[in-house]
Amino acid sequence: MPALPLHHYLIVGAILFALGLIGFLARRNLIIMFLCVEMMLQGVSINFAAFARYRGNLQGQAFILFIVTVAACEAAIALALILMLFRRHHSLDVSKWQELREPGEEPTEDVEPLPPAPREPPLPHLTPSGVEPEHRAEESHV
Amino acid sequence: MPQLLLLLLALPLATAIAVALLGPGRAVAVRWVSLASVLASLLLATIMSIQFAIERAWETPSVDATKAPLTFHSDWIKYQTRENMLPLHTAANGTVDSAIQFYVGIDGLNVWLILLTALLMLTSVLVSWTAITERVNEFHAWLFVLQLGMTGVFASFDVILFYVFFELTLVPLFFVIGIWGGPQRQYAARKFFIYTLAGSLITLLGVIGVALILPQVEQDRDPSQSPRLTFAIPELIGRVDALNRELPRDVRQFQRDPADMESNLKQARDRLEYWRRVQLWVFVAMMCGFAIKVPMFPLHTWLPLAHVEAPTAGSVLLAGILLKLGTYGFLRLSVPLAPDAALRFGVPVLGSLAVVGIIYGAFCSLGQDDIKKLVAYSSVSHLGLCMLGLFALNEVGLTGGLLQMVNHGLSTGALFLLVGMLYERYHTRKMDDYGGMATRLHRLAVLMVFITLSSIGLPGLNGFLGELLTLGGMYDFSGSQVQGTLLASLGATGVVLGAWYMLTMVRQVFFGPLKEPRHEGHGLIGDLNGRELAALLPVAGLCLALGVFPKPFFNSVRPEIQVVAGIAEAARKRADSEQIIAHTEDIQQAAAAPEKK
Amino acid sequence: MSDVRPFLWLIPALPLTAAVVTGVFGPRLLRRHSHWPCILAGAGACVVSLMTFLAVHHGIRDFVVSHEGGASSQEADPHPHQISVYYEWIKVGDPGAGRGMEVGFALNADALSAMMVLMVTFVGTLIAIYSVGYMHDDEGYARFFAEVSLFLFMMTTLVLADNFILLYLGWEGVGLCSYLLVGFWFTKPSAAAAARKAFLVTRIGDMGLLLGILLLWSRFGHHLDYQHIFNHVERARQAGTLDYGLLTTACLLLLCGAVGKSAQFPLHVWLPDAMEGPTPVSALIHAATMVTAGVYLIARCTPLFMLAPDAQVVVATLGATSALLTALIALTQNDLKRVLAYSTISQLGYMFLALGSGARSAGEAFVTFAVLAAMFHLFTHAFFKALLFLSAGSVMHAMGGVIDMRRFSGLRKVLPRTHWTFLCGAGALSGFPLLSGFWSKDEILDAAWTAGNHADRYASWYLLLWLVGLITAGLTAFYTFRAYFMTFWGEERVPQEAYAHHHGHTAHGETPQLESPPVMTIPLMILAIFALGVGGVLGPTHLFGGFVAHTPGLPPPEHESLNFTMMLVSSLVALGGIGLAWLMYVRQPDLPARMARSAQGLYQLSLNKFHIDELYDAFILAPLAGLTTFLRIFDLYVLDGLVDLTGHLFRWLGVRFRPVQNGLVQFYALAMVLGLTVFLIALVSKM
Repeated sequence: MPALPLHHYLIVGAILFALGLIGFLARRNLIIMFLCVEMMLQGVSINFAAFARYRGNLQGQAFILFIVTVAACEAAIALALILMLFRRHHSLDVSKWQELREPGEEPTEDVEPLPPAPREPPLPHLTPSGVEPEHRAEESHV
Repeated sequence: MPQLLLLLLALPLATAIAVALLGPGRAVAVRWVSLASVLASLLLATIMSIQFAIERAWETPSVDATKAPLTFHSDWIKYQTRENMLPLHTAANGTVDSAIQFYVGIDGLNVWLILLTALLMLTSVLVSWTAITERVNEFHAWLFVLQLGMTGVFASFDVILFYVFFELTLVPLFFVIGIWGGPQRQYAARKFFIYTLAGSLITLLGVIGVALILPQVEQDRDPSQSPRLTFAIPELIGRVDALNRELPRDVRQFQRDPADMESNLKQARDRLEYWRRVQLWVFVAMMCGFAIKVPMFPLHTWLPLAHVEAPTAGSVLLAGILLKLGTYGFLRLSVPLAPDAALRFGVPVLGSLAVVGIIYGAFCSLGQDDIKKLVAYSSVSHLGLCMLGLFALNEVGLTGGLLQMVNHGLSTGALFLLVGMLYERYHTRKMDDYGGMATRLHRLAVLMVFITLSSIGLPGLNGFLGELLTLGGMYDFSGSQVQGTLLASLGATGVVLGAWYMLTMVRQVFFGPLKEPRHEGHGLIGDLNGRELAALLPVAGLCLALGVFPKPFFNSVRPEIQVVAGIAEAARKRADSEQIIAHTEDIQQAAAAPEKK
Repeated sequence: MSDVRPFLWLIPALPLTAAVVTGVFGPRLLRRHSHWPCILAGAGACVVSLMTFLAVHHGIRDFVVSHEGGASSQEADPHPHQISVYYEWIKVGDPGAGRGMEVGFALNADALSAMMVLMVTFVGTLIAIYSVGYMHDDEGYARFFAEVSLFLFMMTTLVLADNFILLYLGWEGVGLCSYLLVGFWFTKPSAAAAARKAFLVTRIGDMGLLLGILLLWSRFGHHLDYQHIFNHVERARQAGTLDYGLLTTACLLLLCGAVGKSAQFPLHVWLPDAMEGPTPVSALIHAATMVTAGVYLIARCTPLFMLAPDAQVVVATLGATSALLTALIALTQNDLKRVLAYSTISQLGYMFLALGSGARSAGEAFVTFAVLAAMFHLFTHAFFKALLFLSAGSVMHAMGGVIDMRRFSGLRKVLPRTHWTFLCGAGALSGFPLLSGFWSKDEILDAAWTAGNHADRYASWYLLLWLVGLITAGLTAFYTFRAYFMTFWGEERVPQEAYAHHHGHTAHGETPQLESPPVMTIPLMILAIFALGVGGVLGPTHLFGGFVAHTPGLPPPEHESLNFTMMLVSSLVALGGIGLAWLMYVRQPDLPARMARSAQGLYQLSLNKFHIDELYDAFILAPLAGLTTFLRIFDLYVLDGLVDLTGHLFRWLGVRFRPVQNGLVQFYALAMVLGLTVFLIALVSKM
């Protein structure tokens, strides 16, 4: 099988990486940004695979295994974090989180704010069963 | 017996840890442990210095200044320990051929300073006995870390080790000033720390610079040589000296030999030019840290502040030892590692600044009404004198400079002690608050007058010898870079001004009608007690002993001083001959010019 | 007997031991007996000095005998001197090879130092004995004797030193003792101020001395002992390589030190103030011994000064100026001790005049003659001035501490012994014919006159100086006897303070005995005998000159005959001065006041010491104080401000960059990417 020359793979990797980079810088949705990062990782992985194949050793492959594993772990943690963040502000807009700026600096105002997130339809509730527990009066701690 | 010096280094470290672990509750135990430790250190240091002095008295290594390369010969360094600490490069056969070394020892330049450190540590512990009541264990722990740093700087023979210890002294003093200091302690501590740190970082640059560039230039000159990296001071100095002699010789040789290629001559000239530039920058870089530490005239403003805010023990060690790190650095590193730059740049610049510092410091002292500030500014003046001697670059001046370091440590250390004792009694340092204290505090007054006399250079006490030799050395300066006579004559005004401000202080505080500051709740103010006398008398005794019988000192420092003086002398000869060559070239060109027309 | 080297160290060592013993044990153990170590040590040192003196004398006699005997004079040394080197004090570098410094702790007994040390120890011992009475109820009794002993140590070291550095040790040491003793009653603000002033003003001169020593060391062969320096200079002179300009500079610098120590114009201001110290101290330090150190130094350095005629003229001019100026001031002072203090400056000025007159162009023998004149005056002056001070102290002691002459008079009946001893001293000081001062002052005038007639370049100047000297002689006689008449003649008045400490004794209503105890008056009488006779015995008989002329370095003298014309002139001047004083203060006591009114300006000028202190205050001290204040502020706000400014610069820069830290993740990411891009571009473009 006539092998494709190395630079083809590299170009694909670079394109993937660039797309991911642009996405990361341009999009404001946290989940999409996260996916863009994953895409950059994949671009790098392709480079690794290409070079591993090109040089005929397995070092690059080993790296890819690591990347994939780490990416999976990352995804778990990142999505959990994103979920937590969403619960705070009910938004996935990354610019909502700028509390780590220098104290005293004005927050950056959004010149074109995102449209408000559509209100989710309420989830259906099941009627609770059993006896309602007794409510005890709050004790004063003053 | 290299163990003795190692023990002297290990003892403070062990004591620091032990004292810190004792906890804040057991102040009495902390004090006694500290006292035992400093006494042991003093004993060790005394044994070593006496043994060293005796050895030197029997057999002084002779130095032939004409024979290159000059360096502090490794055989002269007693109590030597030399271990590879951080290997940088391993040769093919597995031996380490370049490494940062743990290289410590005692030679003529540091033996007296190490003894001085141990002595002043004793006084510091004694003077803190009642003055420090809060966080006693921490205070003493920091004090011992400081001792480790100070002893380490003096004992190091490896530039990196030197630098590590040099910086190590900053940390404990920062805390000592910042926690147990006066009302402005945090400002003072921060300023002291940042100022000196900024300077010494540049020093590190210079030190590393010379160690890295030296092998390159050597290899460039002689490609058969493999570049060897070293940080050991004796080796570095020897190689720098050799290179300093060889590069101009190359130029001359190529000049003399017409068969040689013109390009060879040009290369040799370029190499010499490059090396001179490197030396200049190395010198300037090292100067930054050392001059701030000394402190030289325009860079001294951290000193009065730090002194005034520091607790007595801190002031004593700061004035007595830490300022010497700067002058010692000049003597041990700057001059031998960059002799040409020291001569061409250092002598005019630092010599003049030293003179300015002498006069300026004296006048500032005169204008103070805070006794401690007065003494602090007097340090600027005295260390100016010390620098004047060092940058005379001859044997008399260098010996005087080294002696002046010890003198200043003793007399100014004792002055700070006395001021601290006065402050502990009356809680004021304003001169105007006092008067006629001699009627109330006999012993304190007598010792104050005695130390004052030592400080203003009364013959028969140590200060005079320092003044005589430093001024004499500069008077005898033989290069064309500065008018040594003029500088020495201006510096001699310090003799009068020093007497002026010190005696004004003595008159104001101790003479005249009795005027005691208000002191509530301290009961009757007593004269010096046994503990305070024990802190002061050894210092005073050493002042007298050094003044009357300085021979052991002179004998023991001679070979190393001769080495430094020899290196500088060679630089002076080079400078003179180059001047002559440049002059004759000018004449030749002038003679050749009309012919062309 | 002829070798005193094994004992020489005793001369300084005995007083030093006494000082240490008294200082350590005095206040606790010795208490009222604290004077014994000092007196015994002084007497012991005096005995050893006498032995030294005799040994040197022996050497001179040997030389004279062998010289007159004929050719076999190899053995005998024309300048017998004995040097003991005790240990190597300073040795740095390689002095043999012309770089480095070597100073031995070495004592040298030659004719000059033997004479001086004998005088110092003798007068010192007498004054110590006198002090037993004078200081008897003082709190600091032990301290006083410890300091006096220390002074004797320093002074003998100064005199016996064989090199300039040891001399400087003694020189500064006596300055220290002067400081301590002037400030003896340190609770008195004026005493504390005077002590500091004395030390500082002399220190200005000492700076010159130190520089002069360094100059001699650095440019004349890297030696510090007299003999080597003198030999080096002499060799250079013979080889024609001597740099006369440098030598003159060195001499002028040495002169600075001498001027400071000997309280000559313009550094004379400290001596009158130094009278705040106890009177025995004024007698010992500020009249007989320490202040003559400057004269001794210049006499010692004659081999240098005689090669520097320009420096010599300066010496003579300063001397004559001081002599005249302070004599004029002394005319109107009312404080008895101050009169004597100004008179001391004036007499020291005489000695400088003599030293400066020794112009080599008038013959080498004349140089020696002039030096001998100065040293002879120094010698006689030590006795009669110590006597005068001690007598004044006796008066002060009797008057309960009052020394203002306007408050007492007619004391010759009250204090008969003091009166006679004072009269002896006053006669000697004013140059009354045949008393000590007469002979020595006459030689000085003779020296100045000879210089005026023989010195080539400055002859007319020296004649002027001679005239100044002559006028001063008259003034001296006048003010001395003015003080004498004011104190001891006129109606008998005794201030109240005199009886203050006699209350216990006056229980029976009899007039209290005010005269001082024998322990004070006996030294006075001994000194009085010397003041009367020493000049006549040693001067015209050439005993003194014949001895001191054998000092190494002095050219051989000629046997000068006495100049009877000069004697007649100076006698007339002295008698005229005394007569005028008698006329004004005994015959017509209202005359002085009328004269003061008629010459109000001059009178005020003299009374206010020509405003020299005020001039120094206004033109030196005030600007320096201003500079001090300026520098303090400059240091605190400008220099330190610059340092703080550097800190603030970085803080300011940091503030500029704060908005960059805006908390936006994507902004940070963009910055990273941009940074990476720049880095990559740099990397690629470099390839």
